[in-house]
Amino acid sequence: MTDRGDPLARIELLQGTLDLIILQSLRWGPCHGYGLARLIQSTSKDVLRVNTGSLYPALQRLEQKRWIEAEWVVSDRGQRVREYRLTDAGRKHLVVERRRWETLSDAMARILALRPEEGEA
Amino acid sequence: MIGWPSRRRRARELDEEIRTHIRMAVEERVARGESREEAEHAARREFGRADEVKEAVRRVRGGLWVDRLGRDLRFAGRQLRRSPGFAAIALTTIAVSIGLTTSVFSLVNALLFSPLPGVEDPGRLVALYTDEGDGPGVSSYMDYVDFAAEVTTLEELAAFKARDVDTTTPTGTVRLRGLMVSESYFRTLGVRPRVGRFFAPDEDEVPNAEAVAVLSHGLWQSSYGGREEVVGQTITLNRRAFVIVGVAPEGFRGTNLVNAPDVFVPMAMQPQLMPSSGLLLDRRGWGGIDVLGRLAKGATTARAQAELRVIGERLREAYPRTNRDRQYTLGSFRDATMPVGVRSDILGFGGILIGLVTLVLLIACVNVANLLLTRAHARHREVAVRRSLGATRGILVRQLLTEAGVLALIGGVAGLLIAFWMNHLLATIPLPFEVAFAVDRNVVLFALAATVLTGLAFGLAPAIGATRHELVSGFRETPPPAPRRVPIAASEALVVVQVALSVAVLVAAGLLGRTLLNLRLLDPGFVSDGVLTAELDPSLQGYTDERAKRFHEGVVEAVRARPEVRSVALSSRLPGPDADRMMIRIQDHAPPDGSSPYMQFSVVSRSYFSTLGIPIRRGRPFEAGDREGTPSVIVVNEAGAAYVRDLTGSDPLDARISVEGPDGPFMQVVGVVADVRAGPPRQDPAPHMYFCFEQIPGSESFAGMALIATGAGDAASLGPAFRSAVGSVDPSVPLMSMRSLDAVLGDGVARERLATTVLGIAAGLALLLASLGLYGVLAHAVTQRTAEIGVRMALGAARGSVLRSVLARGLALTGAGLVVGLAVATLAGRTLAALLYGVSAQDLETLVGVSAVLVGVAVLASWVPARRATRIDPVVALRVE
Repeated sequence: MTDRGDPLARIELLQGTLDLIILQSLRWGPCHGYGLARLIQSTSKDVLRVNTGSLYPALQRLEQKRWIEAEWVVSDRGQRVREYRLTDAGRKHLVVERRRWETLSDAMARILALRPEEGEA
Repeated sequence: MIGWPSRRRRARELDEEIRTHIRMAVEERVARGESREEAEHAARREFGRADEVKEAVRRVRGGLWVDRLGRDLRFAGRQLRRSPGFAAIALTTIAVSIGLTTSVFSLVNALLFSPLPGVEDPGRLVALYTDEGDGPGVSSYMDYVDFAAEVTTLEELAAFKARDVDTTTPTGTVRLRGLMVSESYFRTLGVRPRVGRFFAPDEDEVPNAEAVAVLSHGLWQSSYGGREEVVGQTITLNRRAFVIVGVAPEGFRGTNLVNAPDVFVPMAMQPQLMPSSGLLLDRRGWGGIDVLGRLAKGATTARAQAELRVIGERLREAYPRTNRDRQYTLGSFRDATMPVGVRSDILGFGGILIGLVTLVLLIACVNVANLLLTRAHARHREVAVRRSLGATRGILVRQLLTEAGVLALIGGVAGLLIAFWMNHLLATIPLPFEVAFAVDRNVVLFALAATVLTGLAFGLAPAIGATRHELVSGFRETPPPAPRRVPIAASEALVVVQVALSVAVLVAAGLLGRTLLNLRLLDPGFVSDGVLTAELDPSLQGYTDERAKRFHEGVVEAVRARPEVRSVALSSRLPGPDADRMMIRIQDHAPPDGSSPYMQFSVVSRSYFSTLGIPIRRGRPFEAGDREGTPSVIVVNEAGAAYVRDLTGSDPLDARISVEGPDGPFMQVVGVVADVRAGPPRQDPAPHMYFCFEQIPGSESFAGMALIATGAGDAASLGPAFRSAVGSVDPSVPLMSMRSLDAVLGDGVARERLATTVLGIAAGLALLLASLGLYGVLAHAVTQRTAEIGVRMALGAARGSVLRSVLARGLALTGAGLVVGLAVATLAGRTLAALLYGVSAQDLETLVGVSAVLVGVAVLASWVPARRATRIDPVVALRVE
């Protein structure tokens, strides 16, 4: 999937991580696909660049799971865009996922903070 | 949830979404100061390939099985189109074998499982049989009347008897299937008339009095234009006008699946329907009636059976002369939908046929499985690539199975069409009964099940085999180490199975073919070629027995006087399977422990034996001296002579027989004639005695007789002689059922002919499939071994030895299959034994013949790839690797 010239720019996202990022980004309000890509790129200070080949399938997946819903709206610039918004189920799922992510990153941080007693031979 | 329409819409939406995405990116870049051209280029590059994005989204959506199936089907279609030769062979194989199996099933289905239209609640219907020590059979009408009066566990009881009848139409005489029924018949079956009414009780009381009839729906439509005013019109049956009182509902075919009646008349009209038999309804000894009952509310078959036993006991006491050996049993109504024994016959026969054609279907599956296996192997590089690209094993199995499914489905549909065609072909074989080879719901379901099962059978094994094999080598980093032995071995095993199965089918077909031949060669004991018959019953015109005898004598004289007639005779019944029987007593020999010996009988004129060419074995035939007033004499057939010898222990020509009780009068047995085989060919002739027509006093003679004559030409050429003779004696007496004797006898070997035709097709197909399979495997092996053969030939191996090695391989496979097949055929032969005649199930000639044919075909099938192997150019072959 990732070995044909379309690698994530900096860090390869784990399956599910992208979902969490999208849900989190949508907390600030409805947004379209391009906007989400830019939002993720800018809020992560360019560390994460989202490949469209991952973004749109992820949106489709979240939509099928009913965590987000889509609607065609006319943007402030008069363009017809497909906007995604968080559903109640998505909001609940986000809370759960965030807690899990925080637990995981806490644990990771603690593991990584350990000073190696015995370095590798 | 999300169906097909939204699928299209979502695709359009995604297109638009992607366009918007790129436009926004471009606008942002332009706003940042890039040139429009640069911005568009960069945005597109940044977005990546739109079709890949779409594909990725579709894959997420693909959780829907329809989408996935659609994709797999398109893929399978592409794969099959890519190798049209393979697809054509596989499809033909599947279609033909499913067609054959379905056709045979539709035959058995038509005979056994078709519903009886118009019959209400058939689950409560039972058949009543009379057993006189020779198995359940037809009953006596007088017994039926007594049962109907007394029985309480059956709420209705009905009697019926089928009889062909002549109807006179403006265009000539047509034969119809008549059914004599008791007044209770339609009520018992719960049938309502389509038009008019059914019979009233008083119309079934006085013999030959009420000439009323009910038409079948079919006859009403074809001959009366389906007009309601038909009620009150008349139909002429056996030269007598019957008033039509009603029409049966559409589809109603009585209770007989085999022959649907055209017209129904009251049982009391029996003398008119059976002109040469006189009134039989008041003779308790006459059995020949089918009896059907409907269980009363709350009654069970067991209770009804118990009550029958009680009533039967009373009848035995009241009528010891006729009823002492009679037992009454109840049978299932389903069994009663055919003549006694026919159903079990068909079950056995149909079972064997279905079993054998299923073997052919199996061979076809093996063939297609082999083709798929070979192809899967040839495609193993493609499979390896697709696995390394991330296709899971499940996806690959699914795709291979879809491919098999597409093959099976197309093959199944084509097979159904072939079944239609085959049914037409089989319908041209004249069976002793009419069968609608309808392709109904059962048949379609059967074809569908066969299709699914064959698809699984030939799809699953190669799919699993091919992908498992790749799984192993896929995990290794090294290139796959010569995995080719595995599928070859599997293919070879399949070919052995194929050869074995076709041996079994071939042996069965061979044995049945020989049976058919034996039955045709069987000497019937009489000449039926060019014999014309007709029935005469002057009693219908009010003749007394005495006058009737003079009438018959006059007709015989008049016919004999015609120059085109060689010989003419009279008989109370024509040669045929069902004959009337009489209880006999032999002078000075009490029957052992109270049993009552029976013999078939007929009354024949002196010229009967010479007219039909029945040879005299011992003693003398009837002679001119046997006239009224001289001592009564009897001629018996060989079976009768053996029967009498068994009873008396002495020469049958010494026996004196009485048919009227232990006190005589007795008749001397004066001659023994050859057995006449006019029933089913494998049935042994029954003991039969002949009485001399000229000798029987007119007061006791049978009013109805059959006229039999031979001439120089064919049977039909004697028609004018019959007509003018009867016309010269009494033109008012109708000449009925004028037919050739061959037409009367029908095709006695129809069943064997049908079986041999079906099995002949099956065996040919099996042979073809097995040789195709053998050819395929050998050809594949030669392709695989191209390099090896090249090396050998480069090292100096002679072409002859290469040829021999491939041929030897083919023959080794054939030999293995042959051994297994012969063993199976020998063991399974027992199940076939019931169908065979004059040939053992282990008939050596058949087994040897089948082996020879098979080896011959195997050599042919091996020859082509073997020749190809010898043409391998070592230089080219070595370059291939």
